[in-house]
Amino acid sequence: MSEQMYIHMGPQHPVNHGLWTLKVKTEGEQVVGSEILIGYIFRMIEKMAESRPYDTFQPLADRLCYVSAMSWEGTYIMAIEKLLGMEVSKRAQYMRVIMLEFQRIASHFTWLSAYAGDLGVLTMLVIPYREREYVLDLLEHVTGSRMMYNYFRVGGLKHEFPQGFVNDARKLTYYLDERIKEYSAMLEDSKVFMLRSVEVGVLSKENALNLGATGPVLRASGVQGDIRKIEPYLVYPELDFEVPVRTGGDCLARFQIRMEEIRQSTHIIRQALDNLPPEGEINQKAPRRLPQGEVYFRTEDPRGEAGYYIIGNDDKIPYRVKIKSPAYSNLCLTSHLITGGKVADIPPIIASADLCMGEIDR
Amino acid sequence: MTPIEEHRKQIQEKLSGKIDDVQIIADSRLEIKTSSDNLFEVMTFVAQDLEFPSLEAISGVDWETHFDVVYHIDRWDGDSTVIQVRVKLDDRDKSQVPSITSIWASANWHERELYDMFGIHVSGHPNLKRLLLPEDWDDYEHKHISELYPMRRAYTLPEKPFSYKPQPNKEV
Repeated sequence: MSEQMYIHMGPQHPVNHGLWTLKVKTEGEQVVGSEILIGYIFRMIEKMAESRPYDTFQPLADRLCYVSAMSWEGTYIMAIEKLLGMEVSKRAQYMRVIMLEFQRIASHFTWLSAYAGDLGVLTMLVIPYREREYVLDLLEHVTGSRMMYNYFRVGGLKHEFPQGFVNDARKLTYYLDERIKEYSAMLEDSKVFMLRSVEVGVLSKENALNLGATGPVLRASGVQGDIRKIEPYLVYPELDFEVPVRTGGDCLARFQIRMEEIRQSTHIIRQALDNLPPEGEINQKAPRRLPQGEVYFRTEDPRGEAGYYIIGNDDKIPYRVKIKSPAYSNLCLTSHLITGGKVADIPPIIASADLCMGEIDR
Repeated sequence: MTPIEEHRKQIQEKLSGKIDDVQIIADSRLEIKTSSDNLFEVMTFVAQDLEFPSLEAISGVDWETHFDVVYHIDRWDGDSTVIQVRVKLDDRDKSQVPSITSIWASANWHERELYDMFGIHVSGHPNLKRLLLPEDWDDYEHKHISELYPMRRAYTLPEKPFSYKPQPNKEV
């Protein structure tokens, strides 16, 4: 038996993609134990939400995750609307779907770049960023900001799409579809990429559920778990799309799921653009006070299931806001995945979970 | 009978005496009220007999007179029901819930966060220590006891940013 050694990865380590520490206990090349330390950027966002009027928290909800700000503010706003019992117009709902799906694409591109870079395919470190920039340009054109949008409002959206948006958006979806084909070819034909993805970090269906995995990680393990289908919100029931599911449970399956999701997202956006109602109130008046009551609302974030548990107390300040982050559970389970594997498998496993420390530490 | 009504019926039949109340509070939201003594048994039933395989979140709520601990449990596989288990803890100073990490492994961090933010003790947890705050947070200089557990209502946000310094002569 070889000697045991402890390795500290983090808080500033290139594969961590954020500030957190991974303590690994090794025996030669084998990982025999691990511990994760988080909390480096803990900002008490939940407390901030409980200390200010409900409509002023939304820009902070953006800051939960810097790569998918739209989905976090969207989830917060929709949870508040559910608590208020508000219904937004069809046009606003379609516009929301378009923005959320573009955000999903941008988020998956960021992930792909980080994942391929960690695996040593450095060409793919920069290529997805080029395409992501086109998506961000479009989002900037609509909202005025590249990453922190502050575009959703209780009762609708901040303002209308700019002129020519529908055409630009449709053109972009076709362009992205072409690009995705190229990505898949570049990566799945790469020996290095496949060696470090196939049967690395295998997560069984039972473990995935028990460890609280959601989103692409859960679907890569063979569970049909997509909130857009299970508990539909907005106009998702009116749109035709598939939920990709793989049974491999390894890093390759998680990669394939995300690639397929980008294709499905472009498909959803095109349908939404076609069906976008020309008329409709997009910024309704909202009540000032939250009623007595509570709501647990969840949506499908690019990382998995994002949830807000909000308690209203007949006041404009929410009494309690609990944020359920998908990356929180996915980080917790990477500790289980890396134990028993090789040290060299740690980067692909961490990267395939798609972590975002902003929403984990909150 | 819709799935959620079936779940409610089963809970009413099998868990009578163990729970205080069970009712449908919204679309596909089923709430069970129970006490911390019966919590483990209720959770075992929910996980094994009702086949709810995944725990989503554990939230603490500070009502100033008492604490609530709220568990959200998910079904997946096409059933949108979320079971919400609510435990009321009357004794604020000795508030305690049993650990459910043996049922759902994902409870590990959620329970640590509950302890970290609210100071609710989780008995039987394999590794109950601070998660988001520093491990030696208790040794820092605190003006008020509520600063130990920042999500309690007594803790208010300070006017201006402040920094905590570890006590002198202490190895960190």
